[in-house]
Amino acid sequence: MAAVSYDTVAVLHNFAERRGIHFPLLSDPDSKVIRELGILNETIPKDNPFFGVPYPGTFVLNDQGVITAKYFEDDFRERYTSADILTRQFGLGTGPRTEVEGKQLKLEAGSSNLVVAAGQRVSLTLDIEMKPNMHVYAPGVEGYIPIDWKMKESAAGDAHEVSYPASEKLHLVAIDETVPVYQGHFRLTRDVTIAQDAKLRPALDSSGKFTVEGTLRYQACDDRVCYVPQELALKWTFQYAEFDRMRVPVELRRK
Amino acid sequence: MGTIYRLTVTLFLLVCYSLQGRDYGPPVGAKMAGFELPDQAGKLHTLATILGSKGAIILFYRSADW
Repeated sequence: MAAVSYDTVAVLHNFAERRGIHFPLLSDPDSKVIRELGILNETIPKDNPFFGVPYPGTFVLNDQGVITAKYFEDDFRERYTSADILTRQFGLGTGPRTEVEGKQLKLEAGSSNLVVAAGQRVSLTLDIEMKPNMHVYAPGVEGYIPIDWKMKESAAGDAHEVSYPASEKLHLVAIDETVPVYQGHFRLTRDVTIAQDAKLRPALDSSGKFTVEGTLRYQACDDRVCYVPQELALKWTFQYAEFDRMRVPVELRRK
Repeated sequence: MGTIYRLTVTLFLLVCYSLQGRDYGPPVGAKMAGFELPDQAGKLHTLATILGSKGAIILFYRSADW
């Protein structure tokens, strides 16, 4: 892993020491690499001290250096967290996990991050384990109730669309129908972009924590019976971290 | 004065980002361009030295001093 900016080596050295960063922070002070990649933010006037910054984003490369994924945001105040990318790319998450027991399934609600800052884009995950011989219906099914993960409106952040895995086609012999379903273990993922500071602050409790909530609705069936539709309450708790606003000594700052 | 300047710049950048698309840089499937850049200790790195057996994640950000 490496991170690239237009800062000088001296600025990066100061920052890395202060934050205890040991992976390479690469210095591109003339924005040469940033320009070559076509990610220079050209909307900033050339006489502005911020001229030379890239659009913030992340490239994921394979061992041959080929780009396999990239994550860029329009709003410079919003950023995918590294943990979000690791969760999406490799299924890893660092946040706590909460078990929820349903009638025909159990699930673990997890997140990519426990500690978050304003504008960060983080992943929420639902690892769902169906009980033996049970299935739920995937989105797009006709005539049945598909699994549906909703999020409550919240001042703390905006939820993005759910990423559903590919479904299986199940043939129901009794009624001679083939339907898209999930069985066994499967994972649903969705991102939440944490609100900006002023909007988020009223949602914090006295210890600086906040929650986002949602529901999972589903109807489970086995090969004989479809059961009463269920709705499970979901909740994720995050610790809010304010931005590090400390700057390098004046003599090192960009003029 | 400094606060007014920062607010002006922030508003300007807010307008700028609203005009932009989201797909920046080389496309997925392209090979990352080569580079040679120093790290925070002055040690030079290239794409080859950053790449591990499972690849790499390369992050571009505004600045460490904002």
